[in-house]
Parts: sequence; C-alpha cells; structure tokens
Amino acid sequence: MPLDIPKEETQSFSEIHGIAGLSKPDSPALGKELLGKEFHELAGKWRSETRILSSVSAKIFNPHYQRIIGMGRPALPFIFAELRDRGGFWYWALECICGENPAAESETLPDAKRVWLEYARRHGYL
Amino acid sequence: MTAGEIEEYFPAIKGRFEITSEPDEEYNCIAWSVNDTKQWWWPTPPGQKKWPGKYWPPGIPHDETLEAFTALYECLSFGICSDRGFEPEYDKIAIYADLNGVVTHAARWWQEDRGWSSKLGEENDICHHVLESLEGPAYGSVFQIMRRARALR
Repeated sequence: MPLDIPKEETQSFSEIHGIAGLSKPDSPALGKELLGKEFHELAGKWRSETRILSSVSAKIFNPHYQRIIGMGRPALPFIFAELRDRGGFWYWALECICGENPAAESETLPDAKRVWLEYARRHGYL
Repeated sequence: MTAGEIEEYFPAIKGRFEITSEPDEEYNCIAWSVNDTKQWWWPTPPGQKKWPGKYWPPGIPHDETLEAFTALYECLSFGICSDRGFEPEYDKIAIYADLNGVVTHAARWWQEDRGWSSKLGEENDICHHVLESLEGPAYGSVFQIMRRARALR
C-alpha cells in the first residue's frame, strides 16, 4: 500500500526555499550560496521593518527575524558577519541558535558585540 | 538613513526636518528624550531576558502602555500638559502610541533643541518642525505631552 504523504511534506527544495526553478543543489558551495541569499533577503526585510522601532519585542518577534532563527546553525556565519559589519540586534537570535549566551554578563551593547564576535572567531564562524 | 529614506517612512515630514546625528544603535528615542546616548530605554516584558545595554528604571511597570511611560516621565519630574508649543523654561516630551495604546515613540523639545527632536530607533536623530510629521503607520499618533521645568533637570 503506498504511503499517504501529506502534500506539505512533498515540497521540492525550490518550494521550501522560495526560489523558483531551482532543483536541490548538488554542491555544498551552491547550498551555502542559496542559504546566504535567503538570509540576506530576510535580514534586509527585517531591518527595513524594524530599524526605526524602539520596541525590542517588535524587533525579535518580527516574522523575518523568526525565520532566520529557524534557519538554525547554518545561518550563524551570516549573522556574525552581519553583526561585525553592520551591527544590529542579533543577540536574541544568537542565543536561541547557539543555546548559550557568552555575553550574559555584558552591560553594554559594544561589549556584548565584542564578546559574541570573539565567540564567533573561537568557533570558526568568522 | 538618508533624507529620502526618512521621508518614505514618514511621508508627512517631507522637507520639514533635518538630520542631526549619525545612526547609533546604543540608544533609542526614550533614551534620547532624557539625554542618554549610551543605553536603550525600554521595558522588558515578562518572558524576555534583559538585553545588553537596555535600561528601565526600577519601580516603573515593564509595560509598553501609556500608563507605564507616563509613570516613567513622572519619576523624572515631568507632568502632563496640553501645550505642544515651545514654552520658555520648560523641557517637553511627546509620547506616541498606536491605536491599541501601545507606546511606539517619544520626541523631546529641550531648551537647547531647535524644535522637536526624535531618535528614529537605531537610526539618526532628527529635528522636525511639528509633531504631526511623525504620525502615521510607523509611530501612530501623539497621545500625550509632558513638560518639566528646566530647573528640575
């Protein structure tokens, strides 16, 4: 008897990643490139929608930010590069993905940024 | 942000503002309203961890409500007033909120400012001629004006 697989579980790679016309990448480099593209699209939308806001809730619960968290560890190199080059309120996402917060004792934003970037270098993300 | 980008967020502001600082993610509009450029003043709702560099005065409810922000400014010696105009010897605050009464922004008019002054989130400070310039989908409307005698700073 054939398996009755729900439609949502038969999505193609291109459907999942919202990139029309592409089949599953056959190389890690292409996969990373596509991931980077997705990350930068989401990060751009997140910044555009939240950069003039003060509410931390509005920033971290923004759907694009949440999707970046959902990308998990593969997103970390992109998040750290973004933090290094442009700053931003990435600390919630980093703690969610990494499962730890090396900057827990930081009192200031510049110090938290410094600690997280050291963490990134130590773990090979930068 | 560029002037054009600011005008995209706030269509009513076109031609009636000037950029007065570079972007700076260390402080926000509430911090700027009390002249703090080193911390991000915002409440931490239940379930959220304290953010690095974030500050909220002890004893003030951790709510994004008009009541909580009124209490914040009252503890800094501001009192409610109705006059949006410049008054000698007074610093002023204008609190913006959305239709649900959730506070979104605060502008200041301190004695040394040339007009209403606002920090746009992580972005620039601007000086804008009227409070209505920032009203709209992003910040809602001005809900309250408060003032403090300059001598009480």
